[in-house]
Amino acid sequence: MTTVIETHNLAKSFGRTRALDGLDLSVEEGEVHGFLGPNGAGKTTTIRVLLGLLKADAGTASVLGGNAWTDIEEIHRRIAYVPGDVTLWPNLTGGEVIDLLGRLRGDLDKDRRALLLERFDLDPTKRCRSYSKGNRQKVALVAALASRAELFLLDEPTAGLDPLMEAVFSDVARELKGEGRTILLSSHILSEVERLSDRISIIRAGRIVEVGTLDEMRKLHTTSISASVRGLAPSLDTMPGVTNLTRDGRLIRFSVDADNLDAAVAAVAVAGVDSLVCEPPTLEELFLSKYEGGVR
Amino acid sequence: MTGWRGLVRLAWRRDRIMIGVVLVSIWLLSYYSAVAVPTLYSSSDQLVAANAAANASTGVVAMYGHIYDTASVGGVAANKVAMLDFLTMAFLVIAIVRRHTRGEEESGRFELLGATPVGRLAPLGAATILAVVTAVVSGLVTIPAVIAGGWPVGGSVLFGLAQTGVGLSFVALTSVAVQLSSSYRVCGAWIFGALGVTFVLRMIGDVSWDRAAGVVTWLSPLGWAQQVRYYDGDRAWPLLLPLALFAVALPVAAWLQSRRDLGAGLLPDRLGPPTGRIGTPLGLAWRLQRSGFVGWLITYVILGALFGAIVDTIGGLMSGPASEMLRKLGGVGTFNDIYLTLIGVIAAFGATAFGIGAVMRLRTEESSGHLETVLATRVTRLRFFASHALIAFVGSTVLMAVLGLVMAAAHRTGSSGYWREASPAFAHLPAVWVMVAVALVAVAWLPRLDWLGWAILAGVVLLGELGPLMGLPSWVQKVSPFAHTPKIPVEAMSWTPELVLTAVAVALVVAAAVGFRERGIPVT
Ligand SMILES: Nc1ncnc2c1ncn2[C@@H]1O[C@H](COP(=O)(O)OP(=O)(O)OP(=O)(O)O)[C@@H](O)[C@H]1O
Ligand SMILES: [Mg+2]
Repeated sequence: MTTVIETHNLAKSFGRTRALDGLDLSVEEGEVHGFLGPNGAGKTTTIRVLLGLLKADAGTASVLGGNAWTDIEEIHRRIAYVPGDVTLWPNLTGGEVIDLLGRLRGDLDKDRRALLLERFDLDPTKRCRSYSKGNRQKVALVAALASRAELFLLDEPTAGLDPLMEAVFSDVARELKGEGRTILLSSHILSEVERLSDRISIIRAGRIVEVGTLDEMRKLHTTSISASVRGLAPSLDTMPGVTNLTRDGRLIRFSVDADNLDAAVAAVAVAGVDSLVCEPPTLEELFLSKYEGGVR
Repeated sequence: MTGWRGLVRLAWRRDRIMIGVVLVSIWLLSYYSAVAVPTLYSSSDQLVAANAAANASTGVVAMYGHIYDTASVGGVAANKVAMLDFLTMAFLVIAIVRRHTRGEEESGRFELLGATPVGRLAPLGAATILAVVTAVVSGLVTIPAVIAGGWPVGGSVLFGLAQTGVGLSFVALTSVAVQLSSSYRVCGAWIFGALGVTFVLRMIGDVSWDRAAGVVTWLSPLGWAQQVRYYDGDRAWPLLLPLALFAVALPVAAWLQSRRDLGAGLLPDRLGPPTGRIGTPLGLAWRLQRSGFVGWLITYVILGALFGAIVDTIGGLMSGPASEMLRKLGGVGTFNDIYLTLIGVIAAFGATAFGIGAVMRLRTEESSGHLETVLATRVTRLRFFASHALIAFVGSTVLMAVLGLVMAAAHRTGSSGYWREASPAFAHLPAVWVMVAVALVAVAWLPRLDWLGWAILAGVVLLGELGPLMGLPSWVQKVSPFAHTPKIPVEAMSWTPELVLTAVAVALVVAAAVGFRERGIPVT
C-alpha cells in the first residue's frame, strides 16, 4: 500500500497564532481517512498546505508523491477539493460553476455530472446567489465528486446538508472508495467521520494527538446519559466505566464508556425510567476524557 | 428605524479612517488653492487675463466650468478645486452609503441584524445619516479653511455649502440606486453611471453657457453646485435644489426598501443556463469583468465623440498674458492643442481607474474565497494572476485607444490631422501601465493594504491637477508617472520617458508576479 499524503513536523503560524505545530499526518491509498478536530484546530490550514495554497514554515508535506508547494501542477491534475467555506460566483449558475471547475481541472465528465445532479436533487439553472446554504454546498460537492480524481480533499463536506443528502453523500463516498480512490474527510462531528472512515486522525491545537482505526477509536467512546428515574439505581455508584455521576432529585446524569453501556442502561432500567436521553460524546468531551481519564 | 444609533456607530467605526483622510484632504486642498492665488497672479490685471484665458479654453471650461465674472478672485483656482472637491465628496458619500446598505446586505451580515430588534429601515437610515453628517461637516469646515486662505467670506460660505449640497444630492441618488439590484456591483454601476451622466450634462451646459443648450446644466447636481457661483456672483438659491432632491429621493428609497425582501433587488433573479462554457482562468476573469469593461467602453466612445465634437467650436491662436497664464495650466500652443492635451491626461486617469478596478477584482476573488477553489484545480497562480492582469492592461489600453480614435474622428472642421489629434490619448499609456502595475504590486505583496492602488491614484490625480497651481516643488510633482509622459501635441513627442516608464511597468509586474507566487493564499 502506498502513502498518498505524508506530512512531517509541519508548522505554520499566522502572526502569533500557531495554527500547525508539528503535524504528522499520513493517509494511505484507497482509504477514507477521517480528519477530526474541534474548531480552530488547524484542519483547514492543513488542507491548504496540502493544496500548496499556504507555505509551511517548517516540515515537509508530500501529496501523491510530489512536494505540495512546488509540484502543484502535477498534483492538482489528480485531486479534487471541497473548501470548508463554500463561496461561489454570485452571478454564475450552479451548472456553470460545476462545468467551470470541471474544465479547469481538465476532467469534466458530463454523464457523471448529470447523475450526481440527480442524486443530490440540485437545480443547475439557479444563480449561485439565490441558492440556499445547503444547495451551495451541493454545487461544490457535485463539482468535486464528478471528477476522476485519485484523491479527494473534503473540508467539512456535509456542512449545511439535510440528513437525506448526507446519506447520499455517504453513498457516493463509499462508491469512490470502492473504486480505490482516497478521501481525506475533515469534520468536527465524530459520528459523521465514524460512519465513513477506515482510519481517523484527531487534530488538536495544530498537532495530531491520536491516529487509529474505528475500533481503536470506539474505546475512547463514552456516552452521556441523563434519565428521570423513580428509584435510586445505587449500583451505578460502583459500576466501572461510569464517570461524572450526579443526582439532582429524580434526575440522574452520568457518562459511561462503550464496554459498560449495556450494564449501565440496565441499572437505570431497574430503577424505573420516566424518560431517558443518550447522547454520543461531543468531540470536546472525548478530548476531556482522554486527557483527564488518561485512556491512553 | 429602531437601532439606527448602534448602526451609525458601527459604520463610523469601520469607515472613520477613510472619512477622516478624505475630509482632511478636501480641507487642505481647498485651503492651499486659496493661498496659491495671490502668488500666481500679482496684479488684478493678471487675474482677469487668466480668467479670460480659462474661459477661452474649451477644455478648461468643459472640465471645471465657465467663469461669469472675469474679475472673480476665486476664478480658475476656485473652479478647479471646487470640481475636485465635489467629485471627491460624491465618491465619498457613494462609498459610505453603498458599503453600509447593499454591501452589508450582499455579504449576509445584515441577516445577523435581521434577527435583532433593529428596524427594517435602520441600515438605510444609518448609512444616510453618516453620509449626510460627513457632507455637512466637510462643507462647514471648508468655509473657514478657504477664508483663512484669503478668499472673501460671502463666497466662501457658498463654496462650502455647495460642496455639502453635492454630498446631499449623491446621498439621495445612492440611497435609491442601492435598491435597484441585488448585486453590490450592479448598484455601483448605476450610481457611478449617474455620476458620469451628471458630469457630462454640466460639461455640455458649461461649454454652451451662452446658448440654449446651457440649460442642461440644471439637470445635473454638479451643475447646481456650480451655479451657486461662489466668488462669481454669489447666489444662494441653487442650494435649495439638492435639498429638494434629498427630500424627494429619500422617501422613495425608504419606500422601495420597505417593499422588498432583504437581499433582493427589484426584479427577482432569472434562471440561467444549466451548463457553462467557461473553461479557462482568462475566460472566467473576462466573464467577471466583462460587464464592467463594456460600461467603460461605451462611456469612452461617447466621451470621445463628445470631446471631438466640442473641439469644433474653438479655434484661433493665443498670445500675450493669456498664454502666459495657460502655461501654468498645462502648456502653451493653440487652443485645440491645449484642449487635446488636457483631455488626454484626464482620460488617462479614467483608464487607470479601470485598470486598478480590474486589479482589485483579482483581490476580491481571493478575499471572497473563489480563488482557493480555482487554485485547487490545475490552474497555477501565475496563470490566474496573468489573466486578471491582462484584462487590466489590455482593457485600459483599449479604452485610451478608443477615446483617441473616436475623438479625432469626431473632430472634422479645422482638424490638424487625424493621427496628430488621436495621439495624445496614446502618449500617456506607459504612465497608465505603471499605475496599474503599482496596484498589482500592492495586491501581491501587501494584500491587506490592497486599497493602496486607489490611494496612489488619488494622490497622482491631485498632484497633476493642483500641483502646478499650488506651486509644489518640482520633485514632488515628478513623483507622478504622468509628469513624465510628453504632453503632446502641446509638447514634442519624446520616446525616452515612454520607454523608461514601460520598463518600470514591466519590472513592477514581474515583482508582483513573484510576490503573488510566493505568498500564502487566501489572505482575507
Ligand atoms: N489567515 C489566517 N490568519 C490568521 N490566523 C489564521 C488564518 N487562518 C487560520 N488562522 C488561525 O489558525 C487556527 C487554525 O484554523 P483552521 O481554519 O485551520 O481551523 P479548523 O480546524 O479548520 O477549524 P473549523 O473547524 O472551525 O473550520 C485558528 O486559530 C485560526 O484562527
Ligand atoms: Mg475549517
